[in-house]
Amino acid sequence: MNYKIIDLLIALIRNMSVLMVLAYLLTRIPTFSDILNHRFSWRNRILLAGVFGIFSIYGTLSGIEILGGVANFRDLGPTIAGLLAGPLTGAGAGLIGGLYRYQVGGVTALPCTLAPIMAGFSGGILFLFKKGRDIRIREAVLLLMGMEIVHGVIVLAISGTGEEVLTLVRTAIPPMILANGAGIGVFIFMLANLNREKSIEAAKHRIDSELGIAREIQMSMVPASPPPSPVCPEYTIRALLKPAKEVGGDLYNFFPIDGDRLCLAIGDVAGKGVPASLYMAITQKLIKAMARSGEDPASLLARLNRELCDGNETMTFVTLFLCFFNTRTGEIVFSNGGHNPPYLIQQGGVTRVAMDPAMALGVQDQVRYGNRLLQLRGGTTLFLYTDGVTEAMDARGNPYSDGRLEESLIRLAGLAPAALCGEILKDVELFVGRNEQSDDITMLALSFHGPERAAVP
Amino acid sequence: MDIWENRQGEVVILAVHGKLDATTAPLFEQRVWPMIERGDRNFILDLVHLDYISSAALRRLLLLAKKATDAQGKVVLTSLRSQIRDIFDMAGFTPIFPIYATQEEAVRSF
Repeated sequence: MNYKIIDLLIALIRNMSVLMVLAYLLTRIPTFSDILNHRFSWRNRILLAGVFGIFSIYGTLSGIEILGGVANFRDLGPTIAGLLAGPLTGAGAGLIGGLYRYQVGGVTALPCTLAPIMAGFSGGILFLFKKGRDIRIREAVLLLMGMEIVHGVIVLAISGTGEEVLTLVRTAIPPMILANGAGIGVFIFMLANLNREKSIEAAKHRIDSELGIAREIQMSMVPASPPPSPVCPEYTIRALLKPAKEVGGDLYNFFPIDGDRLCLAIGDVAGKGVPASLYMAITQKLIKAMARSGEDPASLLARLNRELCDGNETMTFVTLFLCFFNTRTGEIVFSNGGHNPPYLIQQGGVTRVAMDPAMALGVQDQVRYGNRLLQLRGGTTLFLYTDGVTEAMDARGNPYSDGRLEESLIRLAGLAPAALCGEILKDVELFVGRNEQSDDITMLALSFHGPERAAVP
Repeated sequence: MDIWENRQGEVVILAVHGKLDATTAPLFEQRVWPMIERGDRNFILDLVHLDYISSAALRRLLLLAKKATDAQGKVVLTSLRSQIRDIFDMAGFTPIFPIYATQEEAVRSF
């Protein structure tokens, strides 16, 4: 006897698996998400009752004949319909499955017609009781297992307790309890996964849209280029910033501090992405707010550093090159805090600007910075960059390197700032190939034309 | 990235192999922070097998130095390859991390 029950159970579960695959496909159609979001229309309800009514019929058809009765999962479809859309839909699906069962006939025809209708209705009652909250696997399983016991009881109540009926109930009902319980459990599990997938999708969508806005804000914090970047007879300046993610930690700035002089800065916050972008924004705004105080670049850096050290628990540091450029004379006073030395491109070659080593900003508040002088002659270009250029990695993990940057600068000497930055970026992208951009990339080029050009007749 | 751990008395010697970048730096943190919580405060980072260090990883080292200093300990570096040394020099972090040529010298500094 036990052996038979196990055989029945296995056969039932095997047949039910087909139903579960169909149910899975059903959950992927667009109408289904309306149902999950409790947007019910009569069309939806009828569709749902129809589909799960057919599931119920399949439950009868794929049942296992035994002792003149059929062990089946006819009650599963209507219960699901009820759990999804309420008692009416559940009972509707049950009615379809029940009527089909009724015309099959047999000694238990009447109770087996009633059972799916009751199962669908009670699934609907649980749906109403939960008031829109997710139904737990345990609740649904207990409900349907309970319904299968009720199923057995009404068979006995209506069809009598004759020997034949009694044996049928004893043999068929236990595997039906288990198989239906397993079926509804799997289905609710599917639903739970679907709900989780949807909420992750919604969260991702929200984050993406916030990052999009953050990017706009960040990009509006650096001077726009191309225009209206300043183009004057004496000099041309152009910059380019390409974060590795939506937002990044690189920064550059240029703005007038008095009649003749521009403040120019380029910097790189440790790390990338959102955390770095917060420090980038702070640094960018502090530079702008402090630069017109009349201090020289070194004192400015020291004051910026103290400000950035204040409460910096995460030790997020910023490398920063900052200079004052006299647009009339070509004189540059610069100070550097841990940033890559810029290149000078002039007749006779490409050279690195010599500088004193000094600590990046944000780490120790007592650091002293030095000023250095640089005289640009007409026709000279100053090229500033962040390590996103030289440390750009190809697929094998090789960096673009200082060497390749120097070679490119020699090859491209004579180009105007916009073209120079554009060509270097192209070369870096060519080098990187399909590899993901590993760090934020920033370049700033400043070409000084006068005073020698002004002297040309 | 791989970290080989060794101890000499109260000094923890960590030999870092491979790349310390945005992906591996959090792993370094996961490995080392619990040591500080357990009371370790003197560290030697042997970087002879370190191929690359990113700014995100430098920030972790600074944080390690800060935590060690707060606990009256220190972090020293040893056996830096020239390209790694250049990165520390460039960022100006050499005053924060005493650098020794060999592990033995580093151990004697404690």
